[in-house]
Amino acid sequence: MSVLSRLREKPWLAQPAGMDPALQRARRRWPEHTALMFMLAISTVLFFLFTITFLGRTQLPDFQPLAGMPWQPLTNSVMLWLNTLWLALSGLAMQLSLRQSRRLHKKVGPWLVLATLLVGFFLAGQWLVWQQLLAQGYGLRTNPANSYFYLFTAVHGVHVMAGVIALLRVWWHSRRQPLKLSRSLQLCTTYWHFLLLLWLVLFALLTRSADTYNTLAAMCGF
Amino acid sequence: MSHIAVTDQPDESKHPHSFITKYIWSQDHKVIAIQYAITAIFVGLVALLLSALMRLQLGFPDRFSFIDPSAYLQFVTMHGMIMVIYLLTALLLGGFGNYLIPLMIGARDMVFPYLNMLSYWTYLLSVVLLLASFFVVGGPTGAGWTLYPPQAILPGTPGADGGIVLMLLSLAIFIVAFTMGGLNYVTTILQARSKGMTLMRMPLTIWGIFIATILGLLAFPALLVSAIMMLLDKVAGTSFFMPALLSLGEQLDYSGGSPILFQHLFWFFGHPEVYIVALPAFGMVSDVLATHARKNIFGYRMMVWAIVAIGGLSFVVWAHHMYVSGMNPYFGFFFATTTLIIAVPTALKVYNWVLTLWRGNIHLTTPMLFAIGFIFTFVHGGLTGLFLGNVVVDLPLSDTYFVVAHFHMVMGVSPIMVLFAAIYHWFPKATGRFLHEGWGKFHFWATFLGTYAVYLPMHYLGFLGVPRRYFAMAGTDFIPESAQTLNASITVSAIIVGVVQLVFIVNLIWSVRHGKAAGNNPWQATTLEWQTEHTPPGHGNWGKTVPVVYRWAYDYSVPGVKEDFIPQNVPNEQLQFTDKQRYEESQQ
Repeated sequence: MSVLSRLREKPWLAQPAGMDPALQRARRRWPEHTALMFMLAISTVLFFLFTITFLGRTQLPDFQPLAGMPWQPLTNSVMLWLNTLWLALSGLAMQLSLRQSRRLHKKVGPWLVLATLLVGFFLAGQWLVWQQLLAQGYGLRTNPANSYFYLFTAVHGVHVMAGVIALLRVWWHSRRQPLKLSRSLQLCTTYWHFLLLLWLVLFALLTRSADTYNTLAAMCGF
Repeated sequence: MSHIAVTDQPDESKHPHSFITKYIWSQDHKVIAIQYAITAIFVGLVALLLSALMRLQLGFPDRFSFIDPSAYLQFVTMHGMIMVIYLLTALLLGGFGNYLIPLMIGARDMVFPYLNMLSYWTYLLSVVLLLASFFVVGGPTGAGWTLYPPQAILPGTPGADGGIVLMLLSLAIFIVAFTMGGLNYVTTILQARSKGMTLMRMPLTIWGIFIATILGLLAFPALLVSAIMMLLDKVAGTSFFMPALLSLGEQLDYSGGSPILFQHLFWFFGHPEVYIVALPAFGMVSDVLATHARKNIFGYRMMVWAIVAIGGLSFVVWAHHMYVSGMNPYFGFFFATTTLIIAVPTALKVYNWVLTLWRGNIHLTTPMLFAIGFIFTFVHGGLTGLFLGNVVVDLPLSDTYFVVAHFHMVMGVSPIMVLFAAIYHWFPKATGRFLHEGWGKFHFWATFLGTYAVYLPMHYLGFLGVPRRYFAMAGTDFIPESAQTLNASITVSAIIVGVVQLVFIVNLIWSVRHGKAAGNNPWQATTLEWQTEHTPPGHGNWGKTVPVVYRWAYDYSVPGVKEDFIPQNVPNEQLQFTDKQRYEESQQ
């Protein structure tokens, strides 16, 4: 039943025979899935709002993008591409571990170790990018573009670390309740894919030239 | 993930036994609700005291040497922030949301009890941090509750060192706490309803809390974003919001940031916040009115639609708080229009409350008095909102006492009237005893008349042009001296209203032990929370089996039925009729 038809119900009338919801069996419930969907919505709103302020800030005169011209540090973004690869591979490993967990007598351990290692590479890679930027004189406060780069990558990094903690917890609990593993892993995998998608958007956003920002900002009415 | 077991089945071994697991590190939604409520009421009393101090200065300027301009601004700021966030949001959602959701939808507990416990303790941490700012060097922030940069973090503003940092941290932590709680509320409402409890059979209280929680989950990130960025501006020296400026004769390192950006973010949170507070209040007052008027709520479906519509519209009205910020006039036109549109579903709710009372069998109990009082204060505050929603009217009235009077009537007094109604209404369920009725009625009349004595004159002060947030008036010849007399009268009324609240607190403490015993369903209400086996309900709420729901929440005075209420868990076969034909006709 769609939401609209649900909202059109007239609960004060007697229910027609056979239709009384009290007589119907309650459906199988899975609260964790609902909670995760809400969490992803909240994170999306959070990053959306950061992005809107970013686009607004690009239109103020002191904003100098980090990419676009040959001398700007993110014009050549090999390191960031490499990090993207780690995150994508980690998502793949998660997907494989999920597939394993759905089969009987298959071990998921190696895939989970691999996924965690790869995500560790991603975080370490981001850290290296920070160090490179700092070494080149692009500090947190020298320009708002830099401030936003550190801010976005840090908030994304916190999301990644939260995912790792959740995964380790799932893994730990799976030793006692192996049957719930695949359900929990499905949620983790969804989250992993969300992290990748989020990163791709941020990556694209942070390495644009001034012209692109001007166009985007104009579309948003800034 | 053992917590699911508690929500699904009455497993005796899961019940806590020691004092610590039962009352301190409790995962029972009812205990957490009471923890939330006690903390929120405590911090609310602090905010009440602050308002009394600031009124003393306004009513009797220069009489009290300990209130200097800095202290005054700090009182204003902390009063506002505590009342809006740490009292109203926490008490309505953390307190009543926690207590009522599982009981009203027929669940054994929240779906994630551990997360629920964590939510409370995180909230407590945010309150401790907030109160800690009273004890740091420079005191709490005095930037006004909106914390507008650049002044909020610059020297010269009270609390610009430690105070503002603690405030921002506390807000960020509060948001984490709210998010944990909120995820629980929405998931529980969506996934843990008992058999037969369809969405359209839910009491309006649950609808109000449900939509308000979604608003909170999507709006609080805006406050989090602004808190993080302002914190970086303050601590790390970035320039997200800070423009290039001179402060105390020195050029600061900031450059190029936009303070208006902060205002947009803040109000993108701030306006939905009004409805985060208002929607649960709308829901609870609907249930109190229907129960004590022994009549079904008028226009249930419309009430639900209105809650949903208000929730959606509340995200597109934020810039009506910013008409004087120099925005494009077309924006002003847009936001004035959406603001007037949101008045339509809101007014619809008011009509439906009044029509619920029409020809009802009204019992003037204390909760009912507060609920009817709410209709008055809300209509009053709502109408002045229509004035201020129009750009041309807002411009001269902006930042005057008219605005202060408006928002105190609409989101101060009104939700608090509902909170009192709700406390008097549900206290018998939480403790098994009534609050003292005589003291309750005295509390109502003193509060109701007192708030009018406080806020009606403030509208007039606003028309005279008295600006808000000023420590003292000087060189304002356009304001007659009689305004000062009015201010003194407001202060005296405010202090009387404040002292009367102590009667309520004493009543609350006294009645826990000595109140009249209430039994399971003292108001003869239909909703599930009154149908529990024990009062107060035990851990797991429902004994051996969870209730099955056969009807909506408002079967009061159904024609042809013997009793004037039919609980939601009573099937048709168990009804006793006085006139069965009349009953059947009414169900067609």
